[in-house]
Amino acid sequence: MEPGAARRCINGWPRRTDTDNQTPDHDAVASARAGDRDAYALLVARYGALAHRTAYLLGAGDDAEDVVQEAFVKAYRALPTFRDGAPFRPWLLRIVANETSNLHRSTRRRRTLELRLVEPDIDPVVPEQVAVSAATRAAVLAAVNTLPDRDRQVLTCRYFLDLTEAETAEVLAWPRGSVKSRLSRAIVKLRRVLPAGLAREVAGD
Amino acid sequence: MTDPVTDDVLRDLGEHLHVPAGPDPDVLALAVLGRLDEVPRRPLVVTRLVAAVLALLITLGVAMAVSPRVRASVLEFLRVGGVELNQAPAPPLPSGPEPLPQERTVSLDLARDQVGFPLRVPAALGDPDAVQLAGEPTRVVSLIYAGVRVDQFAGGLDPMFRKFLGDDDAEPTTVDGSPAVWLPDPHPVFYLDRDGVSHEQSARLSGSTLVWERDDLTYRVEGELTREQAVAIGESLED
Repeated sequence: MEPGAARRCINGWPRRTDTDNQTPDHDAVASARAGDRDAYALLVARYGALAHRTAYLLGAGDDAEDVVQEAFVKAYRALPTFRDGAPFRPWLLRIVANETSNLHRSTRRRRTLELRLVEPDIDPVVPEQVAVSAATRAAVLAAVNTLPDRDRQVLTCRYFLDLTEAETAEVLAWPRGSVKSRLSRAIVKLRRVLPAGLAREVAGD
Repeated sequence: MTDPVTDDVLRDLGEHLHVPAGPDPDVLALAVLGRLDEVPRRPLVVTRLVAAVLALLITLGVAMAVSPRVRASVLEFLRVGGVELNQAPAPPLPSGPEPLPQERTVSLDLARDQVGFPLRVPAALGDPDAVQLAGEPTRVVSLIYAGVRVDQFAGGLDPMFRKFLGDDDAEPTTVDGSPAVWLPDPHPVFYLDRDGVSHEQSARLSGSTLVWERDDLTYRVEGELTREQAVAIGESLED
């Protein structure tokens, strides 16, 4: 199961956890590798929303739908190279991330997507969770938007997609150590960019 | 090392980010299924080189006694084991290339334990100065000598390195009777990950290189060598 799946419910992500959780990923992958396309369709439906969110947040923007479709086609072709027993999710998201950066390469421009907040910015989470003020959120997001691509990639994977460090390393194809160091440097930069009062809140002082 | 408040603030932010509604999962699944039979696009072919190597294969009598899939890939673009040769213009190389993914330096003994195939060391050069593994699980073993690098990897169906060649810089040859290609000029080489995606960060300019395949393993000898020296090193490989 995905950690944190129960508490995520925004933007329709993830969907379909109710209907398709009978078949474990590795069974579906094994069937798909053996040529069972219905099994692959199940995986596409299961991970379509997460793949789309990943592509969008990693910078595909309006091209996210195309990226996701392409990534699923490529992933199917790459299934023979899928290592038995490996988790499917980070493997797939790595292909999505690759496809997103291919997009940037092919359009010959380094596009950095300006991330923004949902509107209206209401708190859809359960009340007992720590409330973060809308002002803090907006300020932190503005700070995130000033960071270089690689900082944003690692923050996106770790926090906005809620991936583990190991998954982040796999998705970005970075060594584990680079994920760790890049992440902590990105957080330091965030604090530096934030207005002083907010920086204290983020730092937990 | 985790800073809980930062984690919470950032996760909370993630929950409040605008992401447009994605495609309906079932519609997406249908669209993907509809595309699975498309023929994948391939890089440009080194036509003349393919012809030369096919001629060599036929001369050697090993011609097309390979699986249809391998045969198809030979005809689409030139592959020598896990190395793909093509003539398309190379993407720009990074100024200071990063190591290959998960690259680490190990002892020869540890390398023998870690790889899933018999590691061969060239008797002509003796024990290497350093041994590097790349990929997790290990995909490539590199024996490093002063000025020479000997790579070996299980390169079956999926290419692991992509080289970009000019018009005339590839010559067919043999190593112990196996078809080989000698690339005399420096050329860009890119590492391909398990998804077949090339890694720009670790791309570099390779020196003269000899590439061949034997027993489903691909070998690469790179360095400031003549073709004869490279072949001699290749033929001196032993378990």
